[in-house]
Amino acid sequence: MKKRIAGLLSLIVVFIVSVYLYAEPLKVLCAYASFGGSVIVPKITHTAIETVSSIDRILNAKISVDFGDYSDSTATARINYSVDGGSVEQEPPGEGVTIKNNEEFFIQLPDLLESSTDIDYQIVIDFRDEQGTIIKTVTFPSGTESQHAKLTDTVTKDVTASAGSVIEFGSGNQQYDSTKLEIPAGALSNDAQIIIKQLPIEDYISSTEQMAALYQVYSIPDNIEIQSAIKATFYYGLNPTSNNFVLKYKKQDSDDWNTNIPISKTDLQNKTVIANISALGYYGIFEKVKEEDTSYRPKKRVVVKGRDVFRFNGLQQGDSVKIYTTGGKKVREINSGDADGFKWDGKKDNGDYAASGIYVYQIKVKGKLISGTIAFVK
Amino acid sequence: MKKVFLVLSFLILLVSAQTVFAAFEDTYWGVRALGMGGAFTAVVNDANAPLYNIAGIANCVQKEVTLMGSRLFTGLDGVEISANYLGAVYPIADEWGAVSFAWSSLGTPALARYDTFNLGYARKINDITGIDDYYVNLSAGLNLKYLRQEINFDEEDKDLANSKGVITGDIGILATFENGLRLGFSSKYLTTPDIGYEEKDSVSNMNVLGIGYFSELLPYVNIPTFTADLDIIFIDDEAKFRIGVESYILDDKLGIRLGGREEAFNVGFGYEFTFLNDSILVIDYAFELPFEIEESYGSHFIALSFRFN
Repeated sequence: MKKRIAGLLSLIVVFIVSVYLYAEPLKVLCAYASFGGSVIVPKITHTAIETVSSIDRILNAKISVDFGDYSDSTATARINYSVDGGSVEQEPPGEGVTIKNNEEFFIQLPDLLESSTDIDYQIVIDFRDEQGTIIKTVTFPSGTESQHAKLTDTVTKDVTASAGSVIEFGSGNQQYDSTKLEIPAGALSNDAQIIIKQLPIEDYISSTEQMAALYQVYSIPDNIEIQSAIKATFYYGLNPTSNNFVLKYKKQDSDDWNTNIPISKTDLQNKTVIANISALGYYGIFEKVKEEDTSYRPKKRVVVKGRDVFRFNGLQQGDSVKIYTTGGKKVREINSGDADGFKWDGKKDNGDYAASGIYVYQIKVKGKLISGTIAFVK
Repeated sequence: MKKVFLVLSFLILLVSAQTVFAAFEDTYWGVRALGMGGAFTAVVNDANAPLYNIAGIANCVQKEVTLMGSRLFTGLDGVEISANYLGAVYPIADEWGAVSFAWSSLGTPALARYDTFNLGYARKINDITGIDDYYVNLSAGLNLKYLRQEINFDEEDKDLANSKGVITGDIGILATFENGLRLGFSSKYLTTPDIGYEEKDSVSNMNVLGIGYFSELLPYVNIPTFTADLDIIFIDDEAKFRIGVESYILDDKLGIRLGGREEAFNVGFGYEFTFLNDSILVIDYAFELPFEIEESYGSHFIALSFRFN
């Protein structure tokens, strides 16, 4: 009898321990049963990042997660990563960012150092119960694997002239489109390696245009001719603030950006410009910028007579400043100044002081007109 | 007639003009007046009168409220100046005259703002002067004004108060003759109040003589409901001129205006919608193109007015 009781107690203990140890599998088993024999496990959707631009140095992963049978759970996402074989870091810190079922989200790693060459990363999704206990973890790649991405400025692809190909240079920022060439069949005169290389932007001197991105497109061997247009998509990066771009081309051995290529589409959403190109060489995407005119404007906009003067800085012989009343009458024209720039002391052309009030100024500099308002007070 | 000219001549000689305080000039307010280039001193028969010639409110037959908004010098990046105006006239009775209230404001955000508040009174004065109103209708009025300027001084000038206000007044006189001739005179800022911060800065007295003409049908050219006005503004020993014309067509519903001054050319129009009890809603628009300021698309003014019994 005693043996029977001891055996029964042992069975109970074993059962309790088993339930504790195998709660999760049991839950899946139950789910399996309740779903009529199929378990829907969470699934991460993410296109593996294989290259990160060594110019931009941004890894921004686009992720979405199908919660499967864990749709009632809370889920958080993070990326564990290691740069150049260093220690494993986590982004974002803590439990990660809370995500929603099947909703696209991004995790961007801190900007990578210029010296970085390699990065290994793993996307980790934790599902928690109401108490906050992790009940399921899924990763991309699965298990203990990690995805390797190389920081590079170049992508190379062998292209067969008769077949054509698509060459894509992934910047590593999946929030936006990649730079790519869509080479149709017959576009190249011969089979060749086609290379897209991203270059650091140049110091381009222009008051109205500013280089946003620079790419070199070349071939090996280098005597390949383009026989029909290639559709080119150029990613222009995060820096531009305007909506207006110009695509310029220059030959391998030229210094002048004097050939404009018509842009067929500016995709602000994906931060790309799209154009048909028909030559190998350098392609620069230039942001049309408003000339920085604040340096010419007077910093002190209210001047009290006798205390100070209005200073229009950076002007030279040939530039001018005109002052008008708000009624539109010119009261003063200034065509010269000293080392401090052009000044207006509140006097009219006839030498008398102008009346107190708001005045409109117009600065003519480098053929451009800059207007603004100032107030003269007595 | 001689008496009228004597009164006008006396008033002109009474005052000496100095540098006018630019912000309180009347080149920005009253859309109907601006459509006529600001030449309005002898026209003044609506809610724009308080700023141009207070005597004119005595000729208003209906209660009237007008509200104006504007943008000056559009097209110039970095220039954001607006002028706003609210005018109201309340005719009491022929023998009691009319009262008015007006507010005008000129300003640029984060820079400076100039406001004028006006309380006016005017009445017909034929009974006082003994001049027969068969030949000429005479009216006179006065405006009590509160001028306020608010300046956004930077740190270096923070020792100065950021706003200052003063009280002054205008007087006006208007003579409308049976043959269509109209003469108006307005003397503004009579007390030349000091509104200066650092030094004495008087708001100068400003005298305007308006010579106008009105005809139901302009002879020879048959222009209906025609009004013309020439304003001569005496400032700083100089005389400035403003000139404007107006005609109403389509049963006197649509007013078309042209005008100008040395610095700008003006056009405008206004349409009157009549409702029950002879109430009238008026929409006025005026455009001003400055001659000297470059690359501006001009200044735009729009007003809504309501007249009722």
